[in-house]
Amino acid sequence: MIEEGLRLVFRAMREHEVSCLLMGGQACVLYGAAEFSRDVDFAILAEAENLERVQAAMHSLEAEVIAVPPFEIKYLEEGLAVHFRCSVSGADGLRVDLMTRMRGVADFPELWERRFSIDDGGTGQVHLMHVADLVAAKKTQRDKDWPMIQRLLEVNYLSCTTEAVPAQIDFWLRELRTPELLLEAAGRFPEETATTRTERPLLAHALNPDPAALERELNAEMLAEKARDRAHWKPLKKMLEELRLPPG
Amino acid sequence: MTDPLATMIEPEDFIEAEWLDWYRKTPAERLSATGAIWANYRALGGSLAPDADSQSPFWSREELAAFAAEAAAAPARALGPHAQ
Repeated sequence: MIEEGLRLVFRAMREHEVSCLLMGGQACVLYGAAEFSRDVDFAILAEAENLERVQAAMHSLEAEVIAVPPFEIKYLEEGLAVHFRCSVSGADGLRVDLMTRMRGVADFPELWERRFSIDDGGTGQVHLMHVADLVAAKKTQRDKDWPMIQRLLEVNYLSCTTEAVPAQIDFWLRELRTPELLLEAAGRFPEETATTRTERPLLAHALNPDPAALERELNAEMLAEKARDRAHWKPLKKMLEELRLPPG
Repeated sequence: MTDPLATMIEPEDFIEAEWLDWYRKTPAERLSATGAIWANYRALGGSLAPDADSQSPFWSREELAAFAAEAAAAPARALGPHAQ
C-alpha cells in the first residue's frame, strides 16, 4: 500500500490537474534503481495556468517555499529548482521540489509524450518521466547520481525479456555503464555497436573486449559530464547567491 | 514462470542479490515496498531534511549546515547505503 505522504502529494497534483512528471529519487525507486527517497521531485510545465494549479496543490498540502528561488516562472525557466516543504497532516515535513528545465533534457511537452504511467495502488495514476529522460536528468556533478544511472540501465537491460526494439538497443549502447553488460550488448548487437561507436568511442573496447579500458573510459566519460554540469550551473549558482542577499 | 532477469550472462555474477530482488519487482510493487520503508523510517524519527550534499548546486553552505543539524537532531538519519 502506498505511503500516506506520497499518496497525499500524488493526489494533490492529480486533483488540481497539474501537468507534471515524477522524476528524481522517487522515479528511480519506481524504476528499480533505489529503494527509498526522502523527497518528491516533479518536472512541471512552466505555463501561467499550470503554475496556478501547482500553487493550489501546494496550498492543499500546506506547503511553503523553503530557501531560494521564489516560486516564479522566470526562475523555473532559467533552470532553477523551487523547493517546497509540506505541513499537512500525513505529509508533514515532506519536501516537494519542482523543476522545468534541466541540462540535456527535452522540454516538458516532449517529456510528457514519452511518459510512463503506473497505478498508484487504487486511487489513480502516477506519471513518470521516461527512463531515458530520467537518465539524462541524472547526469549531474553529484557523485551520488552516477550509481543511480548505472542501476537504471541495469534494470532496464536485464528486465527486457522480449526481443529488443531498435530504440532500446540504442538506449543501452549509448548509456549502459556496467562493463559486463556493455560487453554482452556489443556481442548481441555488433552492427548497432559499430554504428553507435562513432558517437560513443568507448564502445570500441566492448567490440574488441578490453574490460580495463572500458572501465577507464566510462570513468572519463563521467568526469567530462560532471565538468559540463558544473559549467552549466556556474551562472545559475551566481543567480542563487544574488537571491540570497538581503534586499537593499 | 520466466525469470524477468534472464540474460545471456548471469546477473548474480556482478550484481548484489539484494539489488536483483529489487530489480525483479514491478514498479507498482516497488511503490508499495518503498512505502513500507518510508513508514519505518518515519516511525524511527528519520529526518526529511535535504542531504547535506556539498556537491548539490541547489544549496548554500549555510543551508547545508542547517540541513545537517536538522538531520543530526533526528533519532534516525538513514536506513542504509541504498537510501537516495
